[in-house]
Amino acid sequence: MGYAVREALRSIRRNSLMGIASISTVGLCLVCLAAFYLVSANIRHVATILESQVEIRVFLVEGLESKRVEDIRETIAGYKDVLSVRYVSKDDALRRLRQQLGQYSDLLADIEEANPLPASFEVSMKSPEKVGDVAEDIARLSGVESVSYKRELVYRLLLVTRVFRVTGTFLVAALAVATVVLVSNTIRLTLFARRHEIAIMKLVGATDSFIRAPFVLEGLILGFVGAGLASLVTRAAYSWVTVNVPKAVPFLPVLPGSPLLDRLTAILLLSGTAMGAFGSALSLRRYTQV
Amino acid sequence: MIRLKNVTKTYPNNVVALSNVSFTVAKGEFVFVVGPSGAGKTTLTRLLYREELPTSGSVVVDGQDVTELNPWEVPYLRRTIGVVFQDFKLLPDRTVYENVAFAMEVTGATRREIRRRVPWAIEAVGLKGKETAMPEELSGGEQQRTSLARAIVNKPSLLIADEPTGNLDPTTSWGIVRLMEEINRWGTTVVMATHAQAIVNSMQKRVIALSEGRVVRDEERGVYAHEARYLGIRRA
Ligand SMILES: Nc1ncnc2c1ncn2[C@@H]1O[C@H](COP(=O)(O)OP(=O)(O)O)[C@@H](O)[C@H]1O
Ligand SMILES: [Mg+2]
Repeated sequence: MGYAVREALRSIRRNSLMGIASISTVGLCLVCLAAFYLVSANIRHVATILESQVEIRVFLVEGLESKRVEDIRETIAGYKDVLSVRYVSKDDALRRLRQQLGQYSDLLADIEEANPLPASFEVSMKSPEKVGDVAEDIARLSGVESVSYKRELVYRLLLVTRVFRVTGTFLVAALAVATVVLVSNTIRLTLFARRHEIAIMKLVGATDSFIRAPFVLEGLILGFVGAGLASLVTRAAYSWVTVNVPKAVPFLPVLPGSPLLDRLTAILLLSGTAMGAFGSALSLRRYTQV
Repeated sequence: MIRLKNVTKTYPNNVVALSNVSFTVAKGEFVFVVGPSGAGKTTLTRLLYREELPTSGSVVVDGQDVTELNPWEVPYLRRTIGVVFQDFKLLPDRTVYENVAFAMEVTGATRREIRRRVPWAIEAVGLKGKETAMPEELSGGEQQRTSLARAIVNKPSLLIADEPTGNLDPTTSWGIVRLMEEINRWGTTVVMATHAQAIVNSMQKRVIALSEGRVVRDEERGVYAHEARYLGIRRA
C-alpha cells in the first residue's frame, strides 16, 4: 500500500502537465454539475414556495346577505383539499389596495364613497395540485361571481426546472465522458512511460493488482483533487450568491448554503473520485493484459 | 525440475519456433541451450517462465504444468524463477540497491526481509560498495551482476539466462558465467541460452542444441558444436 501511494505520487509529479489537465477537466465538469444542481435546487425551491402559496380568490356577488356568505364559507371550508378560508370584506379589500399603493393611495380618494371592490374569500389549499377541481366546484356555488387562481406560473416553473435538469444532465454526462477519457489518457501516458518497469515487475512476479494499484490510485487522486477544487470554487461562488442576490433581487428566495453545499460537496468528491478511478480502470483494462 | 514433452510453438505469424521438443532437466543441473540465431532458444526460455504458452505439449517446472496455470497464478511461478537477459533490463532511474530491492518490493516482501536479503544478494554477485551507483555508472559486467542479484534475491529454484554474456567482452563474460556456476553450486538449477562457444566448450556442462526449432543434440559434458562447419559460420 505504501508502495502504491509512493508510486502514484511520483508519477503525478513526473507527468504534471497531463495531471493538471486531468484535474482541470474533472474540476470543470464538476463545477458545471454543481451549477446545474444549485440552480435547479433553487428553481425547485421557488416553485415549492409558490405552490404553497396557491390560493383561490372567490369573488362574491355584490350585496350578498351575510347568512349566504356564511353558508358559502362553510361549504368551501368543508372541501377536503381546502386548508383554510379567509373572508375579505369590501372594506378590507380597499384597505389592502391602499396599503399596496402606499404613497399613491391618494388616487383612491375618488372611489372611497362607492367602493367598487367586491368582497371575497381567500382559499388556501391543503393539496395545491387539486386547485383546478376545487376552483371549478366553487365557481358553481350560487352567490359566487367568479374565481381566480394563479397556477400557471408554478407549472411553468416546474417545466423550466425539468427542461433545465434534462439539458444539465446531458451536458454533465458529456463532460463526464470527456473527463474520463482525459484521465484515462493521462494514465495511459504513465503506463507508457513505465512500460519497461511494468515488464520487469511482471517478470519478477508482481501480481496484476499490485501492478495496477498505483495507476488506479493515480486516477483516484486526480479525480479527488479536481473534485476538491470544484468544491472550493462552488462554495465560494454560492456564498457570494447567497449574500449578493438577495440584495439585488429582494423578492427572489435563495436557498441557504448550509445543508445544500455540504451535500453537494459530498456528491462532487464522490463523483470526481469515481470518474478518476473509472478513467484509470479503462486504460488499465486496455493496456495491461498479462 | 523441468520437463518438456512434445512442445511445439507456432507464433501467430505461422513461424514454427519450436517443434516437438522434449527433454528433462534434473534439479541442480546446469544446462546450456545452444544453436544458431532463430533456432528457438529465446522461445524455449520464455515458455519456462510462462511468458509464452506452447501451441501444444506440456511444460512442467518444479512439478507444475505451467501451461495449466491460471493467469493469477503466474506471478507466484515467477517468484520461484530468476531471469536475466542480454540487455540487463535494469531500471535506469534507480540505484543498484533499489533495482535489486524492487524485485522483492513488488512481491510484497516485508521491509525487514528486504533489508536482510538485498545486501546479501549484492554481496553474492560481488557488487558490495556499489549499492548507491546508478546503472549508467556501471560497466556492462557490473550491470549484469546487478541483474543477477535481482534474479537471485528471491531465492529462486531455477535461474534462466538468455544470452547473458551477449553484450560483454570475453573476460567479463567469464566472470558472469563463473558467478552463475557458483549460484548453481548452491542448488539452483541453471538454464543458459547462449552463443558463446568458448564458454560452452570449456565448461563441460550439459548442452542441448537446437536447430530450426528441434533438439538436434543433447549431451552431458557437451561442446558448442562438433562439426567444423558450425564453428566456421556461427559467430554471434
Ligand atoms: N514474438 C514472436 N512473434 C513471431 N515470431 C517470433 C517471435 N519471437 C520469435 N519469433 C520467431 O521464432 C523463431 C525463433 O526465435 P527465437 O526463439 O528468438 O530464437 P533464438 O533465441 O534462438 O534466436 C525465429 O524465426 C523468430 O523470428
Ligand atoms: Mg534469442
